[in-house]
Amino acid sequence: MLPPSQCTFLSYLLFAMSVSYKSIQWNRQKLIYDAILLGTVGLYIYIFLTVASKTGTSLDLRGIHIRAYGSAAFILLNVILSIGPLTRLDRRFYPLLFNRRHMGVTMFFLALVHAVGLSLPLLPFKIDGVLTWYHDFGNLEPLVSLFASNTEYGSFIRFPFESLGVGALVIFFVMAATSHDFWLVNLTAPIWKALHMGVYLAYGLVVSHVILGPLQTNQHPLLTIAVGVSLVWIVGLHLLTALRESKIDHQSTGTANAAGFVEIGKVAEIPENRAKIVTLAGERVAVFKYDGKLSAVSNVCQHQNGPLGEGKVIDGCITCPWHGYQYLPAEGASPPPFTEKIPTFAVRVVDESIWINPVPKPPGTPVEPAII
Amino acid sequence: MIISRRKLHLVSSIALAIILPIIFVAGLIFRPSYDTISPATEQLLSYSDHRSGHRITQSQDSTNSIATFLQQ
Repeated sequence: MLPPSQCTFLSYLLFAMSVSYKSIQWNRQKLIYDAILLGTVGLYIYIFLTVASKTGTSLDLRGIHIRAYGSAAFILLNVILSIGPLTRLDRRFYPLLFNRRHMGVTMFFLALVHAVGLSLPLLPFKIDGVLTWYHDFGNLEPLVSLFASNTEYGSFIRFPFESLGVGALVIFFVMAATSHDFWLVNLTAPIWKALHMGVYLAYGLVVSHVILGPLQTNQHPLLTIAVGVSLVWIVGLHLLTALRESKIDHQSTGTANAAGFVEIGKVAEIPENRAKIVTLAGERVAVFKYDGKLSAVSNVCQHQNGPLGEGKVIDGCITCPWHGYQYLPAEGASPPPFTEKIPTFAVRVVDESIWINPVPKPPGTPVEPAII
Repeated sequence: MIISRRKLHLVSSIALAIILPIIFVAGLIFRPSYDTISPATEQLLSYSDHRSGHRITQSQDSTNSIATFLQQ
Protein backbone atom coordinates (compact mmCIF):
# COMPACT_ATOMS: atom_id res chain seq x y z
CA MET A 1 0.00 0.00 0.00
CA LEU A 2 1.25 3.44 -0.83
CA PRO A 3 1.50 5.93 1.99
CA PRO A 4 -1.46 8.26 2.39
CA SER A 5 0.63 11.22 1.31
CA GLN A 6 1.17 9.66 -2.11
CA CYS A 7 -2.48 8.71 -2.30
CA THR A 8 -3.42 12.33 -1.65
CA PHE A 9 -1.02 13.56 -4.26
CA LEU A 10 -2.54 11.23 -6.84
CA SER A 11 -5.98 12.40 -5.80
CA TYR A 12 -4.93 15.93 -6.69
CA LEU A 13 -3.52 14.83 -10.01
CA LEU A 14 -6.01 12.27 -11.24
CA PHE A 15 -9.27 12.97 -9.58
CA ALA A 16 -8.90 16.59 -8.56
CA MET A 17 -11.04 16.43 -5.45
CA SER A 18 -10.91 19.53 -3.35
CA VAL A 19 -11.77 20.56 0.17
CA SER A 20 -14.43 23.01 -0.96
CA TYR A 21 -17.69 22.48 -2.84
CA LYS A 22 -15.90 22.70 -6.19
CA SER A 23 -15.27 19.01 -5.95
CA ILE A 24 -14.39 18.20 -9.52
CA GLN A 25 -12.53 20.66 -11.68
CA TRP A 26 -12.29 20.87 -15.42
CA ASN A 27 -9.96 18.29 -16.84
CA ARG A 28 -9.10 16.81 -20.21
CA GLN A 29 -11.70 14.03 -19.98
CA LYS A 30 -14.46 16.51 -19.22
CA LEU A 31 -13.49 18.75 -22.12
CA ILE A 32 -13.48 15.80 -24.53
CA TYR A 33 -16.80 14.60 -23.13
CA ASP A 34 -18.39 18.03 -23.56
CA ALA A 35 -16.92 18.52 -27.03
CA ILE A 36 -18.42 15.21 -28.18
CA LEU A 37 -21.73 16.05 -26.52
CA LEU A 38 -22.07 19.53 -28.05
CA GLY A 39 -20.71 18.37 -31.42
CA THR A 40 -23.25 15.55 -31.60
CA VAL A 41 -26.15 17.82 -30.63
CA GLY A 42 -25.06 20.44 -33.18
CA LEU A 43 -24.71 17.81 -35.91
CA TYR A 44 -28.15 16.38 -35.12
CA ILE A 45 -29.82 19.81 -35.35
CA TYR A 46 -27.96 20.63 -38.56
CA ILE A 47 -29.00 17.33 -40.18
CA PHE A 48 -32.59 17.71 -38.94
CA LEU A 49 -32.92 21.24 -40.31
CA THR A 50 -31.25 20.38 -43.61
CA VAL A 51 -33.31 17.25 -44.26
CA ALA A 52 -36.58 18.76 -43.03
CA SER A 53 -36.22 21.92 -45.10
CA LYS A 54 -35.56 19.92 -48.26
CA THR A 55 -38.30 17.32 -47.95
CA GLY A 56 -40.91 19.67 -49.38
CA THR A 57 -43.40 19.51 -46.54
CA SER A 58 -45.59 22.43 -45.70
CA LEU A 59 -43.73 23.08 -42.45
CA ASP A 60 -42.18 26.50 -42.23
CA LEU A 61 -38.59 26.91 -41.12
CA ARG A 62 -39.45 28.22 -37.66
CA GLY A 63 -41.77 25.29 -37.04
CA ILE A 64 -38.89 23.05 -38.04
CA HIS A 65 -36.67 24.72 -35.42
CA ILE A 66 -39.23 23.96 -32.72
CA ARG A 67 -39.30 20.30 -33.77
CA ALA A 68 -35.52 20.08 -34.14
CA TYR A 69 -34.79 21.33 -30.60
CA GLY A 70 -37.70 19.43 -29.06
CA SER A 71 -36.68 16.13 -30.63
CA ALA A 72 -33.01 16.73 -29.70
CA ALA A 73 -34.02 17.25 -26.06
CA PHE A 74 -36.19 14.12 -26.12
CA ILE A 75 -33.43 11.96 -27.62
CA LEU A 76 -30.86 13.32 -25.15
CA LEU A 77 -33.25 12.60 -22.26
CA ASN A 78 -33.43 9.01 -23.49
CA VAL A 79 -29.63 8.79 -23.57
CA ILE A 80 -29.34 10.28 -20.05
CA LEU A 81 -31.90 7.89 -18.62
CA SER A 82 -30.18 4.91 -20.28
CA ILE A 83 -26.77 5.52 -18.69
CA GLY A 84 -27.68 4.78 -15.05
CA PRO A 85 -29.25 1.34 -15.60
CA LEU A 86 -26.61 0.40 -18.19
CA THR A 87 -23.86 0.96 -15.62
CA ARG A 88 -25.75 -1.35 -13.25
CA LEU A 89 -25.69 -4.04 -15.95
CA ASP A 90 -22.15 -3.54 -17.25
CA ARG A 91 -19.22 -1.61 -15.71
CA ARG A 92 -17.93 -0.59 -19.15
CA PHE A 93 -20.62 2.10 -19.27
CA TYR A 94 -19.18 3.93 -16.24
CA PRO A 95 -17.24 6.51 -18.33
CA LEU A 96 -20.58 7.79 -19.66
CA LEU A 97 -21.69 8.48 -16.10
CA PHE A 98 -18.68 10.65 -15.33
CA ASN A 99 -20.11 13.85 -16.77
CA ARG A 100 -23.80 13.02 -17.05
CA ARG A 101 -24.79 16.28 -15.35
CA HIS A 102 -23.52 18.27 -18.33
CA MET A 103 -25.77 16.16 -20.54
CA GLY A 104 -28.69 17.02 -18.29
CA VAL A 105 -27.97 20.75 -18.40
CA THR A 106 -27.58 20.60 -22.21
CA MET A 107 -30.90 18.78 -22.45
CA PHE A 108 -32.58 21.45 -20.32
CA PHE A 109 -31.31 24.24 -22.59
CA LEU A 110 -32.48 22.36 -25.72
CA ALA A 111 -35.93 22.01 -24.15
CA LEU A 112 -35.85 25.69 -23.17
CA VAL A 113 -35.04 26.78 -26.74
CA HIS A 114 -37.84 24.48 -27.95
CA ALA A 115 -40.25 26.29 -25.60
CA VAL A 116 -39.18 29.95 -25.61
CA GLY A 117 -36.76 30.21 -28.53
CA LEU A 118 -33.40 31.93 -28.48
CA SER A 119 -32.68 35.58 -29.02
CA LEU A 120 -29.47 37.05 -27.61
CA PRO A 121 -27.90 40.46 -28.38
CA LEU A 122 -24.60 38.98 -29.54
CA LEU A 123 -26.09 36.19 -31.62
CA PRO A 124 -26.44 36.99 -35.33
CA PHE A 125 -29.53 34.80 -35.62
CA LYS A 126 -32.79 34.30 -33.77
CA ILE A 127 -34.55 31.00 -33.13
CA ASP A 128 -38.28 30.93 -32.53
CA GLY A 129 -39.73 28.63 -29.93
CA VAL A 130 -43.29 27.57 -29.19
CA LEU A 131 -44.01 30.76 -27.24
CA THR A 132 -42.58 33.11 -29.85
CA TRP A 133 -44.23 31.40 -32.78
CA TYR A 134 -47.45 29.52 -32.06
CA HIS A 135 -48.56 31.89 -29.29
CA ASP A 136 -47.15 35.25 -30.37
CA PHE A 137 -49.77 36.56 -32.80
CA GLY A 138 -52.97 36.68 -30.76
CA ASN A 139 -54.48 39.12 -28.31
CA LEU A 140 -53.12 37.28 -25.29
CA GLU A 141 -49.65 37.29 -23.84
CA PRO A 142 -47.80 34.23 -25.22
CA LEU A 143 -47.47 32.60 -21.79
CA VAL A 144 -51.16 33.17 -21.02
CA SER A 145 -52.10 31.92 -24.46
CA LEU A 146 -50.09 28.73 -23.85
CA PHE A 147 -52.37 27.76 -20.97
CA ALA A 148 -55.60 29.46 -22.08
CA SER A 149 -55.82 28.66 -25.80
CA ASN A 150 -56.87 25.10 -25.04
CA THR A 151 -58.79 24.62 -21.80
CA GLU A 152 -59.93 21.04 -22.27
CA TYR A 153 -58.15 19.90 -19.13
CA GLY A 154 -60.94 17.38 -18.49
CA SER A 155 -60.43 15.62 -21.81
CA PHE A 156 -57.84 12.91 -22.39
CA ILE A 157 -57.09 13.11 -26.07
CA ARG A 158 -57.56 16.89 -26.33
CA PHE A 159 -55.69 17.58 -23.07
CA PRO A 160 -53.49 20.70 -23.37
CA PHE A 161 -50.28 18.78 -23.90
CA GLU A 162 -48.25 21.98 -23.66
CA SER A 163 -48.85 22.11 -19.90
CA LEU A 164 -47.27 18.64 -19.56
CA GLY A 165 -44.17 19.94 -21.31
CA VAL A 166 -44.11 22.99 -19.04
CA GLY A 167 -44.29 20.73 -15.98
CA ALA A 168 -41.32 18.70 -17.23
CA LEU A 169 -39.40 21.89 -18.08
CA VAL A 170 -39.88 23.21 -14.53
CA ILE A 171 -38.47 19.96 -13.11
CA PHE A 172 -35.53 20.07 -15.53
CA PHE A 173 -34.88 23.68 -14.51
CA VAL A 174 -34.72 22.75 -10.81
CA MET A 175 -32.38 19.87 -11.63
CA ALA A 176 -30.15 21.97 -13.87
CA ALA A 177 -30.05 24.85 -11.37
CA THR A 178 -29.00 22.53 -8.53
CA SER A 179 -26.65 20.40 -10.59
CA HIS A 180 -23.47 22.03 -9.31
CA ASP A 181 -21.56 20.41 -6.44
CA PHE A 182 -22.27 23.55 -4.39
CA TRP A 183 -25.88 22.38 -4.08
CA LEU A 184 -24.86 18.76 -3.67
CA VAL A 185 -22.76 19.67 -0.62
CA ASN A 186 -25.22 22.13 0.89
CA LEU A 187 -28.36 20.08 0.36
CA THR A 188 -26.46 16.86 1.30
CA ALA A 189 -26.30 13.91 -1.06
CA PRO A 190 -29.50 12.13 0.14
CA ILE A 191 -31.69 15.23 -0.36
CA TRP A 192 -29.95 16.13 -3.62
CA LYS A 193 -30.40 12.62 -5.00
CA ALA A 194 -34.04 12.51 -3.89
CA LEU A 195 -34.63 15.88 -5.60
CA HIS A 196 -33.05 14.62 -8.80
CA MET A 197 -35.27 11.54 -8.80
CA GLY A 198 -37.87 13.98 -10.13
CA VAL A 199 -36.46 13.04 -13.53
CA TYR A 200 -38.77 10.00 -13.58
CA LEU A 201 -41.83 12.21 -13.19
CA ALA A 202 -40.38 14.55 -15.82
CA TYR A 203 -39.86 11.63 -18.22
CA GLY A 204 -43.49 10.57 -17.74
CA LEU A 205 -44.62 14.14 -18.46
CA VAL A 206 -42.40 14.42 -21.55
CA VAL A 207 -43.62 11.12 -23.03
CA SER A 208 -47.25 12.14 -22.36
CA HIS A 209 -46.50 15.55 -23.91
CA VAL A 210 -45.19 13.83 -27.06
CA ILE A 211 -48.05 11.28 -27.24
CA LEU A 212 -50.82 13.87 -26.80
CA GLY A 213 -49.05 16.51 -28.91
CA PRO A 214 -46.82 15.65 -31.87
CA LEU A 215 -48.16 12.09 -32.20
CA GLN A 216 -51.68 13.43 -32.70
CA THR A 217 -50.79 15.83 -35.50
CA ASN A 218 -47.89 13.97 -37.10
CA GLN A 219 -49.26 10.52 -37.79
CA HIS A 220 -46.21 9.23 -39.63
CA PRO A 221 -45.59 5.63 -38.46
CA LEU A 222 -41.87 6.32 -37.94
CA LEU A 223 -42.56 8.85 -35.16
CA THR A 224 -45.05 6.53 -33.48
CA ILE A 225 -42.58 3.63 -33.62
CA ALA A 226 -39.74 5.81 -32.29
CA VAL A 227 -41.78 6.92 -29.26
CA GLY A 228 -42.89 3.33 -28.64
CA VAL A 229 -39.31 2.04 -28.80
CA SER A 230 -38.17 4.80 -26.43
CA LEU A 231 -40.88 3.91 -23.96
CA VAL A 232 -40.14 0.16 -24.02
CA TRP A 233 -36.36 0.74 -23.81
CA ILE A 234 -36.29 3.26 -20.94
CA VAL A 235 -39.06 1.79 -18.81
CA GLY A 236 -37.91 -1.79 -19.47
CA LEU A 237 -34.30 -0.99 -18.64
CA HIS A 238 -35.18 0.77 -15.38
CA LEU A 239 -37.63 -1.93 -14.36
CA LEU A 240 -35.07 -4.65 -15.06
CA THR A 241 -32.31 -3.00 -13.04
CA ALA A 242 -34.65 -1.94 -10.20
CA LEU A 243 -35.87 -5.53 -9.81
CA ARG A 244 -32.28 -6.80 -9.96
CA GLU A 245 -31.14 -4.36 -7.26
CA SER A 246 -34.15 -5.22 -5.12
CA LYS A 247 -33.21 -8.90 -5.34
CA ILE A 248 -29.66 -8.09 -4.13
CA ASP A 249 -31.08 -6.08 -1.21
CA HIS A 250 -33.16 -9.04 -0.11
CA GLN A 251 -30.35 -11.60 -0.17
CA SER A 252 -29.89 -13.19 3.23
CA THR A 253 -26.39 -13.23 4.70
CA GLY A 254 -26.81 -15.77 7.49
CA THR A 255 -27.24 -15.36 11.23
CA ALA A 256 -24.87 -13.64 13.63
CA ASN A 257 -22.58 -15.65 15.92
CA ALA A 258 -22.21 -15.07 19.66
CA ALA A 259 -19.89 -12.11 19.06
CA GLY A 260 -22.44 -10.52 16.73
CA PHE A 261 -20.47 -11.24 13.51
CA VAL A 262 -22.12 -12.53 10.33
CA GLU A 263 -20.38 -14.80 7.81
CA ILE A 264 -20.55 -13.21 4.36
CA GLY A 265 -18.43 -15.59 2.25
CA LYS A 266 -14.89 -16.78 1.53
CA VAL A 267 -11.74 -14.72 1.00
CA ALA A 268 -11.14 -16.37 -2.38
CA GLU A 269 -14.42 -14.92 -3.72
CA ILE A 270 -12.98 -11.39 -3.75
CA PRO A 271 -10.47 -10.44 -6.48
CA GLU A 272 -7.41 -8.44 -5.42
CA ASN A 273 -8.14 -4.69 -5.04
CA ARG A 274 -11.84 -5.34 -5.51
CA ALA A 275 -14.79 -5.75 -3.18
CA LYS A 276 -17.70 -7.99 -2.39
CA ILE A 277 -20.97 -6.15 -1.70
CA VAL A 278 -23.32 -7.60 0.90
CA THR A 279 -26.49 -6.30 2.52
CA LEU A 280 -26.25 -6.12 6.31
CA ALA A 281 -28.70 -4.48 8.70
CA GLY A 282 -30.60 -2.90 5.84
CA GLU A 283 -27.66 -1.26 4.07
CA ARG A 284 -24.96 -2.41 1.68
CA VAL A 285 -21.43 -3.02 2.89
CA ALA A 286 -18.35 -3.25 0.64
CA VAL A 287 -15.62 -5.65 1.78
CA PHE A 288 -12.34 -4.82 0.04
CA LYS A 289 -9.35 -7.15 -0.40
CA TYR A 290 -5.99 -5.41 -0.84
CA ASP A 291 -2.35 -6.01 0.07
CA GLY A 292 -3.13 -9.19 2.03
CA LYS A 293 -5.81 -7.48 4.10
CA LEU A 294 -9.59 -7.05 4.28
CA SER A 295 -11.50 -3.90 5.24
CA ALA A 296 -15.24 -3.31 5.30
CA VAL A 297 -16.84 0.07 4.68
CA SER A 298 -20.23 1.45 3.74
CA ASN A 299 -20.97 0.96 0.06
CA VAL A 300 -22.17 4.56 -0.21
CA CYS A 301 -19.81 7.29 -1.42
CA GLN A 302 -20.33 10.61 0.36
CA HIS A 303 -20.13 12.60 -2.87
CA GLN A 304 -23.14 11.40 -4.87
CA ASN A 305 -23.84 8.15 -3.03
CA GLY A 306 -22.10 6.14 -5.75
CA PRO A 307 -21.50 2.37 -5.21
CA LEU A 308 -18.00 2.24 -3.68
CA GLY A 309 -17.96 -1.56 -3.80
CA GLU A 310 -18.05 -1.43 -7.58
CA GLY A 311 -14.88 0.62 -7.62
CA LYS A 312 -11.40 -0.65 -6.87
CA VAL A 313 -8.41 0.08 -4.66
CA ILE A 314 -6.08 2.43 -6.54
CA ASP A 315 -2.83 3.54 -4.90
CA GLY A 316 -4.05 2.26 -1.56
CA CYS A 317 -7.36 4.14 -1.73
CA ILE A 318 -10.87 2.87 -2.36
CA THR A 319 -11.86 4.78 -5.49
CA CYS A 320 -15.50 5.46 -6.32
CA PRO A 321 -16.35 4.37 -9.87
CA TRP A 322 -18.58 7.40 -10.43
CA HIS A 323 -16.34 10.42 -9.93
CA GLY A 324 -13.10 9.08 -8.44
CA TYR A 325 -13.61 10.09 -4.80
CA GLN A 326 -11.11 8.22 -2.63
CA TYR A 327 -11.08 6.75 0.89
CA LEU A 328 -8.45 4.96 2.94
CA PRO A 329 -9.93 1.47 3.54
CA ALA A 330 -8.90 1.10 7.18
CA GLU A 331 -9.73 4.72 8.08
CA GLY A 332 -13.09 5.17 6.40
CA ALA A 333 -11.97 8.69 5.49
CA SER A 334 -10.53 10.53 2.52
CA PRO A 335 -6.82 11.24 2.81
CA PRO A 336 -6.06 14.74 4.18
CA PRO A 337 -6.82 17.50 3.39
CA PHE A 338 -10.11 16.02 2.21
CA THR A 339 -12.86 15.60 4.76
CA GLU A 340 -15.26 12.96 3.41
CA LYS A 341 -15.95 10.13 5.85
CA ILE A 342 -17.85 6.86 5.55
CA PRO A 343 -18.96 4.30 8.16
CA THR A 344 -16.63 1.36 8.78
CA PHE A 345 -17.29 -2.20 9.98
CA ALA A 346 -15.29 -4.63 12.11
CA VAL A 347 -14.09 -7.56 10.01
CA ARG A 348 -12.50 -10.92 10.90
CA VAL A 349 -11.17 -13.87 8.93
CA VAL A 350 -11.60 -17.35 10.39
CA ASP A 351 -10.51 -20.35 8.31
CA GLU A 352 -10.81 -18.48 5.00
CA SER A 353 -14.31 -17.28 5.95
CA ILE A 354 -15.07 -13.56 6.23
CA TRP A 355 -17.07 -12.38 9.24
CA ILE A 356 -18.49 -8.85 9.50
CA ASN A 357 -20.06 -7.09 12.45
CA PRO A 358 -23.22 -5.55 10.91
CA VAL A 359 -23.25 -2.64 13.37
CA PRO A 360 -21.65 0.30 11.54
CA LYS A 361 -19.04 2.39 13.31
CA PRO A 362 -19.38 6.18 13.04
CA PRO A 363 -18.05 7.61 9.77
CA GLY A 364 -14.28 7.91 9.77
CA THR A 365 -13.70 5.45 12.64
CA PRO A 366 -10.42 3.57 11.99
CA VAL A 367 -10.81 -0.21 12.06
CA GLU A 368 -7.90 -2.65 12.10
CA PRO A 369 -7.97 -4.58 8.79
CA ALA A 370 -8.26 -8.38 8.97
CA ILE A 371 -5.03 -10.05 7.87
CA ILE A 372 -5.58 -12.80 5.31
CA MET B 1 -31.73 5.81 3.22
CA ILE B 2 -30.07 4.40 0.16
CA ILE B 3 -32.24 1.29 0.16
CA SER B 4 -35.31 3.48 0.52
CA ARG B 5 -34.21 5.39 -2.56
CA ARG B 6 -33.78 2.15 -4.48
CA LYS B 7 -37.32 1.22 -3.41
CA LEU B 8 -38.54 4.59 -4.70
CA HIS B 9 -36.78 3.88 -8.00
CA LEU B 10 -38.51 0.48 -8.20
CA VAL B 11 -41.91 1.99 -7.42
CA SER B 12 -41.34 4.79 -9.98
CA SER B 13 -40.33 2.26 -12.64
CA ILE B 14 -43.42 0.12 -11.97
CA ALA B 15 -45.66 3.20 -12.07
CA LEU B 16 -44.16 4.34 -15.40
CA ALA B 17 -44.42 0.79 -16.78
CA ILE B 18 -48.15 0.77 -16.03
CA ILE B 19 -49.18 4.33 -16.85
CA LEU B 20 -47.14 5.21 -19.96
CA PRO B 21 -48.16 2.19 -22.12
CA ILE B 22 -51.81 2.96 -21.30
CA ILE B 23 -51.37 6.60 -22.38
CA PHE B 24 -49.47 5.49 -25.49
CA VAL B 25 -52.09 2.94 -26.62
CA ALA B 26 -55.02 5.20 -25.71
CA GLY B 27 -53.33 8.08 -27.53
CA LEU B 28 -53.22 5.99 -30.70
CA ILE B 29 -56.71 4.49 -30.37
CA PHE B 30 -58.44 7.79 -29.65
CA ARG B 31 -56.34 9.78 -32.08
CA PRO B 32 -58.89 12.21 -33.52
CA SER B 33 -59.50 12.68 -37.19
CA TYR B 34 -61.30 15.87 -38.07
CA ASP B 35 -63.37 15.87 -41.24
CA THR B 36 -62.52 18.68 -43.59
CA ILE B 37 -65.18 21.00 -44.87
CA SER B 38 -64.99 19.74 -48.44
CA PRO B 39 -63.01 17.33 -50.63
CA ALA B 40 -61.10 20.30 -52.01
CA THR B 41 -59.96 21.24 -48.51
CA GLU B 42 -58.94 17.67 -47.91
CA GLN B 43 -56.86 17.88 -51.06
CA LEU B 44 -55.42 21.21 -49.97
CA LEU B 45 -54.26 19.82 -46.63
CA SER B 46 -52.66 16.75 -48.21
CA TYR B 47 -48.92 16.48 -48.70
CA SER B 48 -47.34 16.79 -52.13
CA ASP B 49 -46.39 13.56 -53.79
CA HIS B 50 -43.00 14.24 -55.35
CA ARG B 51 -42.25 10.68 -56.44
CA SER B 52 -45.18 10.54 -58.80
CA GLY B 53 -44.47 14.07 -59.96
CA HIS B 54 -47.94 15.06 -58.87
CA ARG B 55 -48.04 18.22 -56.78
CA ILE B 56 -51.30 19.05 -55.11
CA THR B 57 -52.07 22.74 -55.07
CA GLN B 58 -54.99 24.79 -53.92
CA SER B 59 -57.94 24.14 -56.07
CA GLN B 60 -59.57 27.01 -57.95
CA ASP B 61 -62.76 25.02 -58.11
CA SER B 62 -65.73 27.20 -57.33
CA THR B 63 -66.98 24.51 -54.92
CA ASN B 64 -64.02 25.27 -52.64
CA SER B 65 -65.78 27.03 -49.77
CA ILE B 66 -62.61 28.67 -48.48
CA ALA B 67 -61.89 30.19 -51.87
CA THR B 68 -65.51 31.28 -52.16
CA PHE B 69 -65.38 32.90 -48.73
CA LEU B 70 -62.18 34.75 -49.59
CA GLN B 71 -63.62 35.98 -52.87
CA GLN B 72 -66.59 37.42 -50.98
